[in-house]
Amino acid sequence: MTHLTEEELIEHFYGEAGGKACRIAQRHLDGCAECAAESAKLANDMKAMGKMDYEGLSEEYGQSVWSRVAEKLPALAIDEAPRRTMAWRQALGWAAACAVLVVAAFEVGRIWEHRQQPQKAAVMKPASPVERHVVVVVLGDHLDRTERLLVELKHANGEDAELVKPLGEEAQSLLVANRVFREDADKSGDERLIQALDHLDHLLANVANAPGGLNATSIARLQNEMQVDGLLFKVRVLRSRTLHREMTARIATRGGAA
Amino acid sequence: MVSMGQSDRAAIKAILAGDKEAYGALVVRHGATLFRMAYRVTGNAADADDVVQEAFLRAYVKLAGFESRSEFGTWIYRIAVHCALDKISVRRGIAENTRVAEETDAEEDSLQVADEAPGPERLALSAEIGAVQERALRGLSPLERMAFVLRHHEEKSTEEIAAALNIAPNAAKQAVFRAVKKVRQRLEGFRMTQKRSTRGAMPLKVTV
Repeated sequence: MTHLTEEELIEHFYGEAGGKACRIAQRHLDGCAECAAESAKLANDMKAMGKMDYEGLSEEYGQSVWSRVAEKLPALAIDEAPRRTMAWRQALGWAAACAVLVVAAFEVGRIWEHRQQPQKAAVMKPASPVERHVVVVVLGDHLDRTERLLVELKHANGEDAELVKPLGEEAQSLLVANRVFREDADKSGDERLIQALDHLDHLLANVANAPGGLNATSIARLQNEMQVDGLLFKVRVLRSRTLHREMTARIATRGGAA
Repeated sequence: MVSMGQSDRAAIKAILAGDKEAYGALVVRHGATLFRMAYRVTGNAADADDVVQEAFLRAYVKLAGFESRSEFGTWIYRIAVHCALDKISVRRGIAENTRVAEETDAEEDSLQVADEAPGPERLALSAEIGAVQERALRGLSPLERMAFVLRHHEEKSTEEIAAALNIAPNAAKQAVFRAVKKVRQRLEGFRMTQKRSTRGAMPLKVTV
């Protein structure tokens, strides 16, 4: 026969054992004199511990405690706690609202920028062709370039189209400046200059706009024209003169120099 | 003036709204219950009174965090349990330091029973609480003493003891077992000493 342990007896004494365990323990105690004696001894010991009640506790005890506790209550513990909690909640609320605003602003900006990019690109593209520069050309420099062109034209034979192609482009460039100088020459009243610029305008226009580009035939015709007019000579004379050398012309060009 | 008609919840609501006087209703309503428990744990009225005051002060400070889904009575009782535990822990620390200095025989589990010269503190305790009971409880650790009082005198279940002491139910049950065993050993030793004393013998030491 297995006797009840002291723990089992204690559990049984305090009624801590569950229903089934309690019944088993009780059945054992009913049939086991040794365990029953131990159980009775335990009960006796615990009875000796008594209730340990304080006899002098008056009905006014609670009131007397309150009279002492009331004086010691921290002044702000309760009064300020809700306020402090509220302040914290408000601060957290503001912080959260600010965070939401920042994130929202960032997102809106990102989306807006994303939507604007294609439009920007569409606007930017046609902008670049209309970009213009204003170039100030000095008459002396214009006559230098013109003389070089005429010299090259004089010695060209037109057999190699690639070699004479730059002459047409240069003539186109000089033609614009030449027309500006021609308009300004009217104000100066310098007949030689006006006449020379008129001849140059005619020649440069032919060089720049030769039908089918410059070739041996067109070059020969232009060379003949230059010689008849003595154009190269006239340009050299004009260039050597100091009068009007510093005359300038403002020429609007697309993207590059005149 | 303290209104006794207020329920605990209404009183707490009033306190949190700024009515400090409403706390008086709670103190009056639960003070005696806490005192009885504290007296059983500490063994004297002065310490028990300190425990009650401390418990109500602690509770007041924490009242804003009190969760209204639990009962104020249960909550303040647990606070008082911890206050009482602190009280006897401090007292035991002081007593042990004194005993270490006095005792020359440091053999563990030896109990000086018959030749214990009662000091002023011990006399005071014995005057208030039964001498037998006080001696029987003296060998318990603070936790064991608290568990024993809650189980034996306050008639709390293992779960309630565990919740009050913030320990696992099994730990609470083991604490009660150890406490009962030690109390019984103490009582047995005390009885043997008394028998020998009546026969004129002088047994000084009971080994547990």
